[in-house]
Amino acid sequence: MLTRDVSLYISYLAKLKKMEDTEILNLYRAGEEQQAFNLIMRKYNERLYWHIRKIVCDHDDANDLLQNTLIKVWNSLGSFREDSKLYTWLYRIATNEAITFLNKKKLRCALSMSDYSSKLENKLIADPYFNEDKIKIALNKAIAKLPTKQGIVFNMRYFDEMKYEEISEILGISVGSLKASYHHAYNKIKAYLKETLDM
Amino acid sequence: MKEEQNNILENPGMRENPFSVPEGYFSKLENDIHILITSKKEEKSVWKILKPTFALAFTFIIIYGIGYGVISLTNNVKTIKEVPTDMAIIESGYINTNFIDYYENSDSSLISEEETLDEEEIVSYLLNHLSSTDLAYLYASLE
Repeated sequence: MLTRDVSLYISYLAKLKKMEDTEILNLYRAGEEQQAFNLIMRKYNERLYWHIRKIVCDHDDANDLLQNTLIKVWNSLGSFREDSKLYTWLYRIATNEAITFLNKKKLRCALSMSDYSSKLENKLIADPYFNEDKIKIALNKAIAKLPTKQGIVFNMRYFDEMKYEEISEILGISVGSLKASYHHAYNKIKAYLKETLDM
Repeated sequence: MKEEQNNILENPGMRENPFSVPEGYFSKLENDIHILITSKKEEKSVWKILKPTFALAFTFIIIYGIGYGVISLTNNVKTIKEVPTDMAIIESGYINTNFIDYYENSDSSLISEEETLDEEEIVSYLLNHLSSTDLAYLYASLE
């Protein structure tokens, strides 16, 4: 009996996750705001979390930023006019939150005459939620050395394997510029890893 | 070809996510967000209740301020327009005089300790300013 209930619940969750964004938005407009928001959270919170985490690296920072993002989504879901896809809109909010945070952090480091990427390296070594690996630490340090937006483009393309068109919609940058930006970032990181790891 | 082989970014496993999260993080997250949203909702509802009260109080303050401004402005204009005589100046002097002024100009301070009245001065003043009948009356009263 219990196994049957669990399997029913799992299939219910799977069905919810498969729900189309338009269906969720229709549910929201029909007055089922809380339920629609829950569905959005269940469908996107992991993806948004990993997107933010790859930008800021630290779990606590990523958690704070994700919470801010979801609250902003809850507050402005009513004014979402479907000019873009729901997931593009969500990614845009999350990205903007992360960019603002990272720029502030980099500025603070610059003012205190310290190097952000070195700080990040120490943080990664001490982070219990980072699979400590010399190459991966060097890779994240190299990404942190890139300009903020270039680093985000690299993350979205290299790790998430997103299409340039999708990245373009989220970041509001033309596909041509994105390709150039990714190419630059890729070469810079490659050179940095070669130099650092002495390969 | 060798360049491609040396490219560490294309090594297997390089694109794998190196990060992890505490156990049960995502299920707890949903709960945390619900708590945050509910508390925000409550904040909003308290504000909704208090909003009309604040609006009413604010309106009263504005009306009172405007009324007070208009009355004090028109009063000033009237005084200047209606009594443009010497009397008005004297009266305004009285109005502007406060307790402290009376205190400072009280009898004790009218004549300073250094100043003393000469008897001869008093007599000559009385002779010059009073008529003979008044002088006789004064003399009788002193007797």
